[in-house]
Amino acid sequence: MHDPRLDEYLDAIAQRLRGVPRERRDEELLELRQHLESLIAAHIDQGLSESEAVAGALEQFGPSEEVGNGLRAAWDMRRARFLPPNKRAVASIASAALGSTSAFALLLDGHGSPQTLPIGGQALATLLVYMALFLVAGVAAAVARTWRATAVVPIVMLATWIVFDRAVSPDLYEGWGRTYLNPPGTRFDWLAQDSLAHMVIHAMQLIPALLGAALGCAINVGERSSRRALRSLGG
Amino acid sequence: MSRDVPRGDIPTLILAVLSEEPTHGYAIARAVERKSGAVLRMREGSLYPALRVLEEAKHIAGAWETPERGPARKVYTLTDAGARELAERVRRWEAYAGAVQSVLRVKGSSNA
Repeated sequence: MHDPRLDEYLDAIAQRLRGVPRERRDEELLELRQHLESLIAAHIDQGLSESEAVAGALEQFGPSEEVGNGLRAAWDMRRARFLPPNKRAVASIASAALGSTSAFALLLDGHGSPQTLPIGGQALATLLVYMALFLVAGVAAAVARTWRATAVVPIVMLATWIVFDRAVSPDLYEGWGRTYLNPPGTRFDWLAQDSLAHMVIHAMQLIPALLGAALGCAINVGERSSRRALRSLGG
Repeated sequence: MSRDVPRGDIPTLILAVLSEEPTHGYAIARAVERKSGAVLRMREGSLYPALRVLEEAKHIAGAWETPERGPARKVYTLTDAGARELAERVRRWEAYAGAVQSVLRVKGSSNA
């Protein structure tokens, strides 16, 4: 049976299934076509003309957007289960944290500043706490179940940044050409105009938390749409 | 009087049809129509997303089979997990229907 309306209908569904592996998509479309052809044949047996039978079958099947979106949602849900997003997120953030910490250490070491590695004492302890806080913030954001929990991350980042700058920066970055905006001993004496090197270091430190926040948002969106799809499909 | 089947009820109807025999999508739609005395009507395209959800939950298993006559068709079979799921859905449905019926009976007797 070759009615252009049937092909157009299936093409519209295929459009919604872009990104689904070709083999799977072809299988879906073949199954739908077989169903539609059976419906058309049944309508013709009941005495309708071929044109009326095609129109009736398509109406009985429902709008192509609805069918395509339903199949798409079912596929997205399957993919989400196949790759557990939370485990992926934690692994990514742990790698990013290790990578950025190592890069931070290498940069400190290679810069030839007065504070080459290994740094020690209070500066090292605070630096480690700072890195750990960012890592925790990143992981928390990635596995957060709500938008509100994910939104906590920027606040934690900002707070740790301020604490770090106040507690450690003057010792750690001494001799790196940092220009402090206020004289020592005055209020806000920790405020400084960052050099490019400082900004690069800060950016690397922020990687775990930023990655965590991004993944947290993506997971929340993905899980929310999967749950919505599952509910709409009666699963 | 025919009624549209809410999409959320389609998986239960699919499980019920497959509890009798393995079959393909078109036959599932016809079985629902026949068993309900043509009262229940559905947009038949919505069967397929529901079939995928049930497959993913391992409540049914789909496999392409080639009959003696005609082209290969994807035939769905109820799994053991699907049978348990159906029993649970039937239990919940009967509890719900029983509760509604109780309310209707009370209303009926108060009107009498």
